[in-house]
Amino acid sequence: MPGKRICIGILANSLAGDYQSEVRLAIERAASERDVDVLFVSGQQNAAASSLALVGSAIYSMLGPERVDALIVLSGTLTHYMGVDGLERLCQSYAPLPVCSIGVELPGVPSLLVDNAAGMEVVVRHMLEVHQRRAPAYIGGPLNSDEAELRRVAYLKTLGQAGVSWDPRLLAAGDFSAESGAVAMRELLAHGVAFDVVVAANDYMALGALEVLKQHQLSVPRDVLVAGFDDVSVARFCNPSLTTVRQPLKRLGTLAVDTVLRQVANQRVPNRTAVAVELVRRESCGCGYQLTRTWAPTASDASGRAPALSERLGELSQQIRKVVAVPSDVLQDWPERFLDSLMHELGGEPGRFLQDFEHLLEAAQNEGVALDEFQQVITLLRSELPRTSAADSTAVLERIWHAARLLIGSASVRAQGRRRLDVEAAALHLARSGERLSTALSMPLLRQVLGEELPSMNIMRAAVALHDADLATLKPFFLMVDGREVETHTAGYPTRKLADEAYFTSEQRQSSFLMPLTFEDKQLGILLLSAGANETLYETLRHQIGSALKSAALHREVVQQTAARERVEQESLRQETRMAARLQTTLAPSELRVAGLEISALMEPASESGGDYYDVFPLPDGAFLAMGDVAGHGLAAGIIMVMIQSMVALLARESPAGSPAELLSRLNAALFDNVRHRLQRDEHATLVLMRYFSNGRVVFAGAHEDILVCRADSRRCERIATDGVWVAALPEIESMLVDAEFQLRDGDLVVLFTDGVTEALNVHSSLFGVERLCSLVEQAQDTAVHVIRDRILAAVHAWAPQLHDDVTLLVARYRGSADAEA
Amino acid sequence: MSNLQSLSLDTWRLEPEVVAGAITVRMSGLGDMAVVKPFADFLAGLKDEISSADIQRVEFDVRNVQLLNSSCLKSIFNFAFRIKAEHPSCQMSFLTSASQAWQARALGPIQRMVREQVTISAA
Repeated sequence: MPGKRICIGILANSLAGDYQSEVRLAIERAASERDVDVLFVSGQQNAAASSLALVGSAIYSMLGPERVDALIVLSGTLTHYMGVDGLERLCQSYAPLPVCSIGVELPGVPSLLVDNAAGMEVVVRHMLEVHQRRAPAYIGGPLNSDEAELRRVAYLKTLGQAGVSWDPRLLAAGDFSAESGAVAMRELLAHGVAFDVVVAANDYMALGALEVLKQHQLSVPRDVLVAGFDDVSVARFCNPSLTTVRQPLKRLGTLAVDTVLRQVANQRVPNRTAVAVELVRRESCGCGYQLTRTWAPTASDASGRAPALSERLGELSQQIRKVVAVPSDVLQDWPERFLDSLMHELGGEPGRFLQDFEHLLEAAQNEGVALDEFQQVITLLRSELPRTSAADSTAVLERIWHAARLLIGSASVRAQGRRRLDVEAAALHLARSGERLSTALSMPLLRQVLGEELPSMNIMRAAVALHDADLATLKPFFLMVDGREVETHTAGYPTRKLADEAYFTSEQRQSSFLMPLTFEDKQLGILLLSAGANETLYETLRHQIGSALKSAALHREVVQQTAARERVEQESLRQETRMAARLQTTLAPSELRVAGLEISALMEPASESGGDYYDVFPLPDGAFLAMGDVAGHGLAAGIIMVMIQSMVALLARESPAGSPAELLSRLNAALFDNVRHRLQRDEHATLVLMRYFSNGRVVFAGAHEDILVCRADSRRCERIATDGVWVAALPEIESMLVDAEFQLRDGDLVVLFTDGVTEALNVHSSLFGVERLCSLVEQAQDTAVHVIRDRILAAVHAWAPQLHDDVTLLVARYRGSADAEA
Repeated sequence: MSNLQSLSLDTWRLEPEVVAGAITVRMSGLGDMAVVKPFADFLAGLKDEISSADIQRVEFDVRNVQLLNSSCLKSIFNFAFRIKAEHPSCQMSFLTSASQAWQARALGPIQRMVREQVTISAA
């Protein structure tokens, strides 16, 4: 079993930026060649707040020997945020892990430094000596940057050595961004002091300055020369292309990997390694145009005799090596092979050179070389070779140069096209992932979306872990290995473990990005993603996942709060229902003694009280009987039922001789006002009010269910309709109410009921119905009234597995004398 | 063009049809507690349609209705009462089944309370 592979952590401020990208790619190449894992760790620059803020910087302190064996720090990107002292402390905190710093010299840390002073000196001397400029302006970097300070001092020192005086009004400063370069340029122009060259401490500020000069109708390089520092990729493509100082970023990356690997192997490494920089002359200083002009072949060159090509191989190799920046050891001897191929072509192997050159271009493109730089190689050789070749070779060479330029052109177009396709594919992936992640409002759905989207972006390993209450522990949220989601069984682990062991276990070399997951200024957790996708994806993906996590968490919170509120509401409703049921049952009459009537009644409130009502008010010559049902459920229905009960009780006592229609009319007027105006409700009630006289005469009014009268003589039920109107629906119902009446004879049964009886539904959604009720009454008519009542109730329960409405029944048997009936 | 949509629940269906200034609503199923809210919403939409399309006649065909509980009846009454207040020329009729006498009896109070505009017939 192979031993554990070494893993190098690389610390930078963010993934974005040419500098970070180029160094990372160089490290990646070197690590790949040495079979070493790489963990690229970035924070998050807070664009909304101060540019000095670095949200999620805690990510750097999460690294330790648990996951990495050595660290490379892109110090120039971090001192801007935490200062040299802060970075020094951070590096010390990693002890005993080997650390290598790129860009800034840190005490006790092997540091790889570009020669900032030499770079600035060469560009300033170029402007003064080659272009004869005498009024320079300078845009420096941020005050807390060591590199910026070194460049500023070198600028002033070079002016002094050249005897050029400088005006303090022609010194401005920015923060290394293009925007700050533009601001600084406006300041310089506003002073009104004439200048003929602008040197910026980095390329981005120079690009910002170029834009402002254009806006002020100042031509570069005709009116003003401009130069930057770093040679970021956009410096080649801007208009005019930018003269700059090239940092050997790819070389730095390779050196850094070797430095930490030697430390891991307990080998000594130098504390300080300086890497040379070089001037890249382009259009912004005028050299781009001059090169084209001066390197054109001349007649005298073509006819001259000079040393053979084979005698100048070493010299020419050195020259063309300087023109093209090739990063890797893989192409280390490309100039020699290039010239060897050319010699074979000229020596009688037609087609050899172009074939080899095509392969070289392909290999160079794979190494990230800007292919257009080979045009300068052709220009240089075209200028040099006529002096070394026989005259009859000139025509052959011209054809070769022409074909070579066409090859470079088509390879460049292909490379651009491939890059564009990659970027477009990445944009499409991001658009889709953004849409899906933004609508994944639950944690399981979010995991599902991650599991589906990441592999489609060629991200085959991923881990999302969330911070608990503190930053010391992480809880796994999502883990994917080799394109498949893996279930994690750990509840949590120390933060420095970063992710489940499964993420880091692989026979293949791994390269990953470790990023903080944040939302605004809150640290949510960490995100680990394997490399393999277009690098422009990662930063946006991190934002999308961070926002999605926050949205899902907020959604869960809302759902939980809603559920809690619903529980409270349901409990409140249950209490209301219990109260309403108590109201109904408490107010049901306890005394049912009425002369001439055997009465049995009951009310069974439903789980959600239905507002049923019945009452019996004995009078000397009979009684008032009432039954009703408030349309609606719950406490409001119960309260309205209580109002009805109170009013009927008062009216029955106050007006024992009053007719049911008259009493209902009076009740309605008061009830309508209470319900509609005072309670602001829209309930109404069915209500039948019956005046029973002991001689068997019954006068009634109102609108409710039918009154059932089971005749003793026919033994059949009669259904007597209650053709009135509801109460509490209209303010005045007197004109709509009429008293109706029927006569009871000895042994007749009267059954009053509410719709809870007849509308009870069985499992097939069939109604219990009035007919079934009548049949039951007829079957049980010879039994006692309470037996009839109980049989009806039992039948209803047997019919309906669950009752959704109150069930109210009143069964009365008339036991009147013949005299009384007469 | 009418904005009125059919309502189709498990045991309750409402199918409106607008023809020449009149609307017929065919109702079927069980008007129990489960349908109270959607039924009330439907009637609110029907009232809006009457207002916007100047409908002069609405017929509810309730012959295939097996149940209209008190809450559904309340919704119908509220609807009828609003129509009475806002569209006094709009006539509402209920077509009931002759074999389902309870339908006419249940709707009777509404007819008596909005006598000028509500009629009940059996077929």
